[in-house]
Amino acid sequence: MHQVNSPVANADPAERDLVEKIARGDEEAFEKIVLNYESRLLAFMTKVSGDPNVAREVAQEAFVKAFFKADSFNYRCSFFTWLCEIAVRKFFDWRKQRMRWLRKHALVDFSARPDHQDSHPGPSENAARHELAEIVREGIAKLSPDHQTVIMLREFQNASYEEIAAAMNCSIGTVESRLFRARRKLKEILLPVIEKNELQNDL
Amino acid sequence: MNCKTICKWMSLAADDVLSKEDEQTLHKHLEKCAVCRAEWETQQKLHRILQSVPQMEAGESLLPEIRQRLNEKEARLVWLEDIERFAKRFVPAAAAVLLLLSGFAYQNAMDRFNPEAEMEWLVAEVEQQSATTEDLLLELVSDDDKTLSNRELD
Repeated sequence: MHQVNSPVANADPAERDLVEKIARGDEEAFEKIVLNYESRLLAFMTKVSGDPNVAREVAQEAFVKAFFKADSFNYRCSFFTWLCEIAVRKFFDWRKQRMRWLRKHALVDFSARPDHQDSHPGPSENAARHELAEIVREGIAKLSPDHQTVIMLREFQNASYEEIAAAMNCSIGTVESRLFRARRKLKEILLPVIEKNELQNDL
Repeated sequence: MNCKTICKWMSLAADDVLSKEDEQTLHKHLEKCAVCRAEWETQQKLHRILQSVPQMEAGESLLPEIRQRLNEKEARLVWLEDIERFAKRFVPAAAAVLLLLSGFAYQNAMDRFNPEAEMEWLVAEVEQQSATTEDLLLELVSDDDKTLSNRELD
């Protein structure tokens, strides 16, 4: 029914060599990987979290975990897609902790809207775009963790089905059905909110 | 082709992983079916919305912070490894000593327990109790006799 979009990405022998070195505890190889991927991972995580500070925190944790778990990397996807999957899981943990803390202290989640919007409101078009992005993130947060991961990897990272399947350790068929269900649910959540807020006009 | 399958294909078509042949079937169906066409347009809108989420600047390198985290984690791991090594070496020995001690304690208790001696002690105790009861009864009887004789004298 579907065609393979791209070959399994991790055909790069140089990257494979670096990952093998990291698995043996080589910090120099690890630093090379960090320098290669940090800006892409930060860009991806700012899209996911909407907050550059959270993105930094989570990306650091993901890199550290990747260093200690490099021996469990299966080479079926690119190292970067695997790193993104770890970072998304770390972000879920961070969000859960924050919610627990807010509930414990009986606080309203003021941090849901990132600081940069208040400090740099910019032109109204830009503000509307950030508002829409925030609505999208809140909508995605209502999905199950697996559906969130699959949507984030596909829509924000443009990862192929094969890569997502390898990173999430599931079949391509599972990725297809998760994406289908996640999109259907997301449509139900997002479209009424967006239409109510009249934010879709530019799209 | 039914609408349910077409809806599933829309997701694949949005990701450009649907075969050319299936894509043609999809579009032919969309031309005929207004419901699916509306669904297709909604999916396209959702896709545009998701793609519109802006990227932000990456900022400074993460390397110094990651180095610090690695050092902290490695220090913690070394500390944990020390505990693990200590546990591996001493816990089995401590468990063996504990087992030996409880074995000795059990043996000691069993040695002390002698059923025959216990029975002898019990018999002696019962006999002693019987004797005491007998004495008391005799004493009471003699007291009654004395009381009777005194009454008779009166």
